Amino acid sequence: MDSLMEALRSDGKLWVVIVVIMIVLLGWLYYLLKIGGRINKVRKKNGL
Amino acid sequence: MSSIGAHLNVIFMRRHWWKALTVIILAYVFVAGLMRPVPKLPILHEAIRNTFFHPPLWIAMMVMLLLSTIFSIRYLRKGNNDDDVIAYEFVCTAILFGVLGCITGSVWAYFAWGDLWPNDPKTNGVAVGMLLYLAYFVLRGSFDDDMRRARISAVYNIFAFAVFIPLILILPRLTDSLHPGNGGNPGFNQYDSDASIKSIIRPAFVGFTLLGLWITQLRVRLRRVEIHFDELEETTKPVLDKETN
Repeated sequence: MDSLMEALRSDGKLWVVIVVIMIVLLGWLYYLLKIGGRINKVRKKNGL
Repeated sequence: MSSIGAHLNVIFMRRHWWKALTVIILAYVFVAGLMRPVPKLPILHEAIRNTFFHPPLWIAMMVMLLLSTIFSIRYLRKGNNDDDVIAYEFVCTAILFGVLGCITGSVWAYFAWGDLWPNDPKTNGVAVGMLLYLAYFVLRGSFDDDMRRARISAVYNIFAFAVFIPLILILPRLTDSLHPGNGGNPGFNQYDSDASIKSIIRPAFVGFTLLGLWITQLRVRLRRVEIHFDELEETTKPVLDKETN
């Protein structure tokens, strides 16, 4: 864990990559949750 | 009984093998993209690893837009409403990848070039291209008649793609650009012809694109269900109205 912390501090910008990965994953998650919301809407509307 | 189960498994894998492949490729890209050694370049340092996550978003976006254009052409030729639905959903997924590409690019640009939105022909071209496709959504929303909406938006979609590609692939190569491989700048490959970048970025192109196809497939199936229930409601409504009268 210490070595990871050290790497994040000293390597220059590895955490920028972590931020980019988080943005990508959160974007996909948001989109999939939106699809889930639409499915729930269809189910409610049609009493399924 | 077990043979039936095995048979069903074979059918399942025949239809869904590419989804398993998507998961495997993306797992490889995210793990290898963080852990494999990369070339040490000034300014970029470890941020060069963003190469495995930022450009694949654009590649996936362009593939989605190309497929959308193909389905728009198909709609105009055959008049099948399902082609219009597929074309629209491909644009929706493409915009998701485009927005993520813009945000990740901004974050990277801030730490590499010192500006969230540098004055660069590629970033500006992308902004104009995204606006073109946002206008596509506005255009679709402005029609009540399904047939007219499908036909006119299909024509617009083909036009938008024909403008978008020169904006992000051709014009940035004709002027000075911060992006590698554009405006006389050497691409990454000239620095790093070793396999460390290529062995991750190429699978990333495939994995991100396959994920885009998967998401679009889900959206198209959902849209078909919505259309089915809407049509069902329309056909049963007059009967119900008569009964109440």
